[in-house]
Formats: sequence, structure tokens, C-alpha cells
Amino acid sequence: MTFTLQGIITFAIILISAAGLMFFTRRFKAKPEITLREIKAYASLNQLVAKTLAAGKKLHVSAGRGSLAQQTNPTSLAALTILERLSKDAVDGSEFPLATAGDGTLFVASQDIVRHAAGDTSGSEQLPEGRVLFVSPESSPMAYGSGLSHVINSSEFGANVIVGHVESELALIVETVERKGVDQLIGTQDLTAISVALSATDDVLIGEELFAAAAYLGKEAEQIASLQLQDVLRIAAAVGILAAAIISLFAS
Amino acid sequence: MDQIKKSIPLLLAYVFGAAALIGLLFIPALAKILTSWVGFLAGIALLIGILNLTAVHSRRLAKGNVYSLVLLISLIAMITLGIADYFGWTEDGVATAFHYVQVPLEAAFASMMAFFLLFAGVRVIQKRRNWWGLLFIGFVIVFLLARTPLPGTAGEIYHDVSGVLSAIFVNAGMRGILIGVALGAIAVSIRVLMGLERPYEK
Repeated sequence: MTFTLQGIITFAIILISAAGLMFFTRRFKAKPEITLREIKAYASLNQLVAKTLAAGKKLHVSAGRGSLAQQTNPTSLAALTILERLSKDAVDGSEFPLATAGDGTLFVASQDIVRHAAGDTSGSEQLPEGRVLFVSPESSPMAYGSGLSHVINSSEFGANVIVGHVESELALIVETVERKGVDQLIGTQDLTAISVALSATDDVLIGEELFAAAAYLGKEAEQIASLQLQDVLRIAAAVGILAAAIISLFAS
Repeated sequence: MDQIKKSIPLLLAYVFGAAALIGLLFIPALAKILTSWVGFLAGIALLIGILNLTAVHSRRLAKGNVYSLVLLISLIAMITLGIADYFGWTEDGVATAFHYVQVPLEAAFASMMAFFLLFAGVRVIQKRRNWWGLLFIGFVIVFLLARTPLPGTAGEIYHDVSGVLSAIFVNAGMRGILIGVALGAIAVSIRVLMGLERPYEK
């Protein structure tokens, strides 16, 4: 066992954050009066599903190409939360969404989510054929971009939702969706992908807004408490950076 | 029985989450073991994905889709090359195929990205006819000119100004987004470690 200063500090931050999360969760449960600031993309998400189902068209949801076994895990988990919500909403309207994934671990998780959504509604957890597609492995962004473009081109979708880890290959996908004239919502943490997404639609979940999916869609106490924790950590980071800048200014 | 079925994944999440955390921070050997297990599971998941791909494209091939035929032939060819490399019948067959087929294809797509990003920029100008669109055009012109060798003192001043814009405004925006992403990732990770978010339990 090797104790380094960095390891101890990191462990301390995690323990403090966990304690903070428990504190905010208890506070929210005692007084559930917190109003979340509006994120337009989440309001649009509900409208997108309703509009698609009303038109009798299919919904396409892609959870990106970030592996659950890599550093993109939190982004992919947030994407799967959105997929779960959309699957339940779409299945309630008796139209299964088409879920695509650019990684093996995401593909298996997406299958599980769609299967459970189907089971909750119909009582049978038989996965409908062809409703979850593996597009490409994580290591091949261009294969993901071209594969997803082909999927979007080959069917008539009412709306296209791409959330999770995508990079510059999003430019190819967005171009295809624009040519089909389909509504789209994009959520990602990659800077290039964010700038491409903003060129195509106003419904973009930028970085940490994607991680707030569970809170905005589920409204559970623990999820909302974690947003409060993020706010506190953000303030602490800002104060720390400012303090470091002032100290280095006077030190020099 | 249902309660036990629901408790097992949660218990596994607690145990392995704590083990991974302690391993990463204090016991590197433990982290290495767990990482190798994760890599193994990711490989199995990839295999499941490839089987799905094969099944989907076999169905499409039955309907006469030529691209599916190309995909399946490529898949069989690469698997055959891999087996041949393993038994020593060929030397670096997979690497050669990757170098002469996959790499040029990816390079071709990557080169197209420049045009798609240009289309994205034009779309911004078309859709956002307001101050933000104007600001975007202004920054594009500034940074495009910064790449050109402008002559004399004016050129030097211009490069200094564009450098300041890039170092302060652009970097500040990027870092703000990245800090937010990092904090969001911390919050998600803590929720999973504490069992408050259970993606394995649907």
C-alpha cells in the first residue's frame, strides 16, 4: 500500500463530496422546494417525443461511442439515463425507438434498457427485433459517423437524439440529419462536437447539462442533491483558481 | 427472493467500486487486476456487438443489400487473416490490411471533416442572424487571418492581439466547459459508488 499526498487529497475530496451529497439529499427530502433552472433542451426533449409519436414516426436515439469501461463512463451513463426515459416514453406510445451504440458495452446496456422498457409496458421482456443496433467499435470514430449516417438515411425518423461521447464525426451525422429535415437534440461533452451541434440546433446539452439528465428527467432527491453538490464544488473551484492566481501574482 | 436478486448487483457495485477506488489511490496492483477484468468484459461486449452486426447484415443480405455483402466478406476476411497470423501461416496480415485499407479510408473521411465543419460554420451564419452570429463571423476572420503571414509591424501587432484573444477568451470558455464536465463526472461517479444511481438495476 503506497500513500501519496495526491492519493490522500483525492480520497478526502471524495469523502467530503459523499458527505455533502448525503447532506443535500436529507435537506431536499425535508424541504423539497428547490426549483431547477430551465434547460431548454430538456423541455424540447419531451416535445420532440410527443411530436414524433403523434406523427406516427419512429424515434432514433444514439448513446454515442463512449465505452462504459473507459474514462467516458460518466458521459455514457448520462446518455443511458436519457435512453431509458425516451424508451419508456416511446414504448408507452407503442412505438419502440431505434437505439444505436458505438461501443460493445454501450450496446449491451442499451439492449437491457430497451428490453426492460418493453417488459414494463407489455409484460414481455422479449427484445423487439432490430430495435438496438451496434454501429461500430469505440476506437473507430469515422466508422461510427458513417454507420450512423447510413442508419439515419435508411429510415424515416421523426426525431434524432444523439447523446453521449461523440467527437468531430458529429459533423457528418448532423449534415445527414439536416438533409433529411429531421428534428434533432444533441448532448455531448466534447468541445468540437458542441460547436458542431450548436451550428445545427438550439437543443444542445452542453457538458455538465448532460450529467443533469437524471435530475431533470427523474426529479429524484438524490439526483437533485448532486446538482447542488456540483454548484458547491464549482464555487470552490472558482475560489481556488482565483486565490491561486492572486497568490501567484503577488509571489512573482 | 426478489429482494436478494436486487441486492446482489448493489453489493457487487459497492464492493468493486470501493476496491477500484482504493486500488487507484493506494494499491496499484489491485487497480491493475481490476482494469484487466474490465478489459476482458469489454472484449466480450464487443464480441456481442459484432454478433449483432453480423445478424443484422445477414438479414439485410437476404433482402439483396450489396453493402451488407461487402461488410460480411470484410468481416470474414479479417477473421481469417487473424487466425492465419495466429498460426503463423501469414505474417502481420491484420496489420497490413489495417494499414492499406482502414487507415486510408479513415484518412479520407477525416479529410471530408474539414468540409463538413465548413458547412457547419456556414449554417451558423445562415441560422443566427443576430449579434452572436456577427461575433462568430468576426472571430472566424480574426483567426483565419492569424494563420496568414501578414507583413511588417502591423502583422506582429495583429498576431499578438489574436494570441491574446485565443489565450484569454477561447481558453477561458474551453476551461469553463471542461471544469463543468469534470465536476459533473465527479457527481455521477459518487452517485454510482454510493449506490444512489443504479444503471445495472432497471
